[in-house]
Amino acid sequence: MRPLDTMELYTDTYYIQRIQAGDTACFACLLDKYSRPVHSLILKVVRNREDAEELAQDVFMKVFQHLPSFKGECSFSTWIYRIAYNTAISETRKKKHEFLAIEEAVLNNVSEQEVAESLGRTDDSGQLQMLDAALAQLPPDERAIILLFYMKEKTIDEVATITGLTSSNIKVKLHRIRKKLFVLLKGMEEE
Amino acid sequence: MTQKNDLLKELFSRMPEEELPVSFRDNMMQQIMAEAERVRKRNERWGWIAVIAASLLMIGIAIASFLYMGIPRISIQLPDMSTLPFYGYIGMLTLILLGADYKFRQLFKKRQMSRKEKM
Repeated sequence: MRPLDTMELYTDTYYIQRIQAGDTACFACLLDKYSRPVHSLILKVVRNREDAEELAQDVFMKVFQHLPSFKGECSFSTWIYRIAYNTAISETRKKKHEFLAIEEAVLNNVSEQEVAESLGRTDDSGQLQMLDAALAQLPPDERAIILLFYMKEKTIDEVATITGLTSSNIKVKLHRIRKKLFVLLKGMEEE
Repeated sequence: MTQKNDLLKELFSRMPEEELPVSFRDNMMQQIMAEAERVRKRNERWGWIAVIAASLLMIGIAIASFLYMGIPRISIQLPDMSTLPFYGYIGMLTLILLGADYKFRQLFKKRQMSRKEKM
């Protein structure tokens, strides 16, 4: 096997082929590439460090076990995020949580411009703390959708593939989640 | 929805990714290696089962075709079977002795290895 630093130059498909050919050690390269972003997504969805680590392990075990069924219909990263999304959402469904409900009238009452202006009065770390607190008030599935779109920079079609929803449904959901975040951020700023 | 001049895009881009525990990679690779070994053994077991099943099927077909269908058409004089229990007994004894010999050799090798390790 080649040294690890040169192997990182290869594509996901190359590693997958090597693993399928019996070179299990190649899985370490996929782990190096995806463990941190996958763990980060799961942690932000389940919001518990121990659960997130355990779920990330589950995700990579599922990835290894189902690697022969990966046919390349979507990118490997989309496929791995789909497994991570389903695993994290299933976990959150086991635990009952209550989430904030915001009325439609309130949602339509806040503009991005207003939020940008009020956020401008807070320093960078304060803005991130507020965003994190606002994310915590969203239901896990909405949190995952907005994180996939903005933080993981997935396209609407990719988010649709990951979540199993239609692209138009994702567009509507993203619109509503953005509005919710604006309301929450503005509320925090006013406090 | 455009991501151009998007307030949330700018905020999320500054959001740091959480650090993973240092042991995560090693633990995960250990689990993956163990899983790969388990799958390899399972496949090997199924391979053996398939070979044994295919062999038994072929032997069965051969016996059936020879005894009941008369293929090929030859006649064999069966030998006197009165001594069969005796030869069966000798055969069993040989097998038991062979098995015991194999086990004793394994035990002997194990002891020698442990002695070498102690030295």
